[in-house]
Amino acid sequence: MTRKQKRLAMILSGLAALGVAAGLVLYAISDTIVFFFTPSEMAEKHVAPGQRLRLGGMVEAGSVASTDGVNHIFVVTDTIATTKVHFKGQLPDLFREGQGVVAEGVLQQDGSFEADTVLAKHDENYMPREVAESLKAKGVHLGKGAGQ
Amino acid sequence: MLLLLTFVLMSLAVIGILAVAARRSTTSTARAVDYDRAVFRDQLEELQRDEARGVISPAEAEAARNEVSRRLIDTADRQESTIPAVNNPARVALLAALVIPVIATPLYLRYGAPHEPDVPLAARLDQAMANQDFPALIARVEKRIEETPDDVKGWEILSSAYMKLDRYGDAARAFANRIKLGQNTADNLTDMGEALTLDNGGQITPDAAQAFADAVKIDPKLPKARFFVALAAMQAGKLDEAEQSLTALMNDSPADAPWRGAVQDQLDRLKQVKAAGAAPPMAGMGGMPGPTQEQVDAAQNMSAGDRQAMIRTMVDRLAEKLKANPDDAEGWQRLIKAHMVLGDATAASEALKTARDHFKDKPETITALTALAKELNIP
Amino acid sequence: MIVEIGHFALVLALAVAAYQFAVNLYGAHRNDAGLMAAGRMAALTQAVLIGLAFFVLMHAYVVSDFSVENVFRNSHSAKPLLYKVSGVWGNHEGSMLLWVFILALFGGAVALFGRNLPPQLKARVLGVQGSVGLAFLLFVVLTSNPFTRLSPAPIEGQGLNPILQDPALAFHPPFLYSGYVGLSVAFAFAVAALIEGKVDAAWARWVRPWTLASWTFLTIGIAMGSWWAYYELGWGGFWFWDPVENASLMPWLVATALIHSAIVVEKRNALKIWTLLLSIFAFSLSLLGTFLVRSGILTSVHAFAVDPDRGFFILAILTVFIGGSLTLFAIRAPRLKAGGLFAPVSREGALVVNNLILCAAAAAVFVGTLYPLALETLNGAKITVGAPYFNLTFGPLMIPLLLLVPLGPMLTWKRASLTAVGRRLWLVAVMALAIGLAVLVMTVRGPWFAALGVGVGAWLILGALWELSERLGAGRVPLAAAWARFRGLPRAAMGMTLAHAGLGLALIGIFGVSFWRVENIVAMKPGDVASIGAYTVTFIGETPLKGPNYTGVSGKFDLKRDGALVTTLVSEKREFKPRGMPTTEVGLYQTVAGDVYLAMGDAAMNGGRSVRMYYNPLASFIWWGAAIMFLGGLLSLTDRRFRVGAPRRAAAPAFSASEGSAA
Repeated sequence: MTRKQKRLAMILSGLAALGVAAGLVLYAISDTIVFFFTPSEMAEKHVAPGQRLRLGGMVEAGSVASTDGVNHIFVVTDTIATTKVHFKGQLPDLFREGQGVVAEGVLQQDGSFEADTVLAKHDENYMPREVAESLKAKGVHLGKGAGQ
Repeated sequence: MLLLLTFVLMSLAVIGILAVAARRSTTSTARAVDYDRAVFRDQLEELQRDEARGVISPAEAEAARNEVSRRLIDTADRQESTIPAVNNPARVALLAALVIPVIATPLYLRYGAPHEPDVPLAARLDQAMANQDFPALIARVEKRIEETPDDVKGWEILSSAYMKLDRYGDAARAFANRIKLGQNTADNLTDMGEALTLDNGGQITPDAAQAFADAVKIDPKLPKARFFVALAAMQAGKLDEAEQSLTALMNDSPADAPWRGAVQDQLDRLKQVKAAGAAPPMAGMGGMPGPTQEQVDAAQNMSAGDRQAMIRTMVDRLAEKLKANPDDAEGWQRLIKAHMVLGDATAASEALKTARDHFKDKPETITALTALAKELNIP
Repeated sequence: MIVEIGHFALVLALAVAAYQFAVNLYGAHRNDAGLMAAGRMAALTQAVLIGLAFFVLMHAYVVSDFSVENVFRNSHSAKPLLYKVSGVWGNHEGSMLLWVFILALFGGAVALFGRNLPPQLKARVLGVQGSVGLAFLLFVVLTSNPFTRLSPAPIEGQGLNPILQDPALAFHPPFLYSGYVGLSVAFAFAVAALIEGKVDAAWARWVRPWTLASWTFLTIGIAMGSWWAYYELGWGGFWFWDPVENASLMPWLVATALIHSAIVVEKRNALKIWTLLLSIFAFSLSLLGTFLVRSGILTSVHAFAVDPDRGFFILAILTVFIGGSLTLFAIRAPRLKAGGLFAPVSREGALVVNNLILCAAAAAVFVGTLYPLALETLNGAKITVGAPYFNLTFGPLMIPLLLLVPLGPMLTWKRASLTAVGRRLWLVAVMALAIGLAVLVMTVRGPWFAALGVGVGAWLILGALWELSERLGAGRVPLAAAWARFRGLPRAAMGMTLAHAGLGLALIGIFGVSFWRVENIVAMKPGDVASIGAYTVTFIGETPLKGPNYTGVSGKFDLKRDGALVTTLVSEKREFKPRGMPTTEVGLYQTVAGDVYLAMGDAAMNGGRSVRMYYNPLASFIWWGAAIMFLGGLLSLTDRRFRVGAPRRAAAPAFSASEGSAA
């Protein structure tokens, strides 16, 4: 091979590697992304049960119930609509009533939400950005620390 | 002034260092290609070393040596840009002298605060505590709290300080803010109720009664809250209910509980009233259990750090005083106790020794000191 | 007064950075020795001044001077001393001050130890460093000034986020930043080379130790952060594919590529243009990481209080430096001479594959991290890209690379024979395969993926050790001679062996935890027994807890195996005083085979506690692997070839004199 051919071969193999990477990325992205909704968005967009998604909002005050310390039921609200969430596991330290929360899981036939992950944050003033923005868009007033 | 001088000196030092560096520089005759040759020669030596140790095979070493040598030889043909080297230290110094202050000064003037003194914790507490300057402390905290009304910490300081200064109405507000900001504890509710009551001349207001009731709901065992709930019942004329509550509280209280006396007082009073068959008793809170451990509570409401600092400051001042006036036997005993409270046994035994030496002619004081030492377990 | 001296030192440092930037670049252009000497001294002065400012801030933290707003907001007088000190960088302003401090330290180090660099190249490197320093000092002074004062000073501070009050996390940022910022040196080298229009042998040789240093720091910084997340967050995981984590992973991947490609530049004078581009990318990703973390533009569980306005400032810095350097690259790169030739199957070829895969992996992470942001900007949809995406892209990309790792060092430069390498490595391959198969058979129902991971890990470790033993001539020469060779082995070679073996070890741990983890979440009352893996856990009871700045409860659990008491685990729920913020301390029992991980949860209504237990097989391999990689990096750095002030310098003028007359 001449110098030019060698270089061409190298560039081609590089492009092939990038092509494989790009293919993987495109395939994975279309297959694995998870959409984020607040309770009212979920109602507006008629989200089909069975789809994996993230539900965000605030934990409605007084709604948290856990009978055995492992199964938790709470209500997520964006002040317009609410969704009941069931979660088996340990709630994060910073999970509190009236605070922002994101739950990932699957919407059930009966309209409740079966979460397998519940996220709160390291910082106690935390309001998940999506939650803050969604609530702001709906005109809900937020206290300090929101929208970080 | 001193600060300004420091700034000027710092700037001059920086300019000076840069100017001296420029002045002492020498124009190097080495060209870039010389550095490359140095690298190649080093690589050749390295190959030799590795080969001698046997960490690379002779064939590999030979191939690498050929390559490096070829590149070394190639450097001979290399075209070097030949910008003549110059050296002009005076210009460098001038540039530094101009540029650095011109950039630094306006920035510092804009963002700096040259008139602000340092205020480390020790200085702050010393100032405030040494002067017993509670009003000044409060004024400062109040000013802060106007800007940051949701600073719980500020309200904590204010609530206990107001109580100390008998500003009960303000104290009640401060407690209300703490409760609103998340410190919705039985203690705070009780203290708020107490402040409201004191502000009202001892009559328990409906708000206060509600607060006590809420407190008991959160912590059904809290003696102070239960006591006030009973008082409220008493003042409302529900004498039987009050008596029941007080008796229950009495039964739940340990034998050495400091509030037993107060509860007993109220029970006695209740009995009198009942015996007399009189209308609702006492307008005021004459029988109120004194300052209800006010100081202790206030101290408990402070954070551990504050309290330690406060106690330490007080202890230090006591020690100072005793140095000036060592004849104060009681003072010595207090100092020894205080050291033990702070967990500083060494300081306590030192103080004990000093006191013993000083009072060696006064046997009754020595006896008292020995008794104290025994009581506190000081060696 | 002390505080204001610190503030003035910071502002003065900014002025010196501007001076350093201008004087070095102009001095190099004019070949003015005086200017270049002053520029070198400016780099040292800047480091001293920022150091002064940094220690003044630290002093303010230690004495709890709440007249400094930053101290008031992030400290508390009752906090332990260690966390008063680490509180300096536990917040935005302080961490940016640490950032510029480390940047200036690297600049100072180049000025001090770069004696073997051609003066003009060194001046240009320092000039570019000065420009980066200037930009970030402006950012600090204008938007994130840690010396803003409060008057009157509040009595008490607001406290450090308690979750940050942890020894591993106290020292995680300095290491991570050293890694991030160290890449600025490689960047400055690259831009300097582009300005000069040539890549010298000296350039190639002396860019390596700096890149290696920042790679080493990045490795340990990421490992510490991951270790912290593992035992502090109470989720039992060590990596969450969170944007902030990805922000540190991307520069690490590219830095890994860079330390490999720089070898080719030094040894073979090839891949020069590519290496310049990689240097630019590596630092660009560092800047991007800083931007992502500091702007809070992406949702992250690790994001602390952040401010979008500052994000724009960093975005502007980002645009100027990345845009500027890439433009310069586009103009100058075609003028660079291409270097040595090599066949596709050769050491160089293997390193090219290494680079391609690492960059593709970094690109996959990049897409996954930024795609949600892009999509939201485009059509407002809010999505998350989670672990499944990264497992699906990153994994398949990295496996082929990992398979190639033991081959690389066995290949010869220029042209190599795969059959020769096959002859040398077949035994290792068989052993690794056997281990993988054995694992597959042993864990009958276990996922075959885990067996693959262990097999690949074994392949890496055995391959690295095999290569070492071949170098030592084990089996061919007497033991004493092998020992002598071992002692004479270049430390860089030893470092490579350690780094590759450490990678294998970490890989085994990662696959073990990912595929064999056992989880059990139960509600327990005192006396209750639950089982996890081969262990049983008995809840003994809980006691109240009182720490220096927190209160809480502490739960005791007896851990038994085959009925015999192994240890007593303690998990705590703490509530920190100033903020009333709760945290969980997990109980951890570590063995070589795996960790028992136990986190106590909330009190249940019926009086019990929810308890979360994991058995994480081989988890400690991850940290040991990372530690060994770190050691490998350190060992390489002490190689005599990297040692500063190499003796060659003295010989150079003499050499040049004779050559000069000949030329």
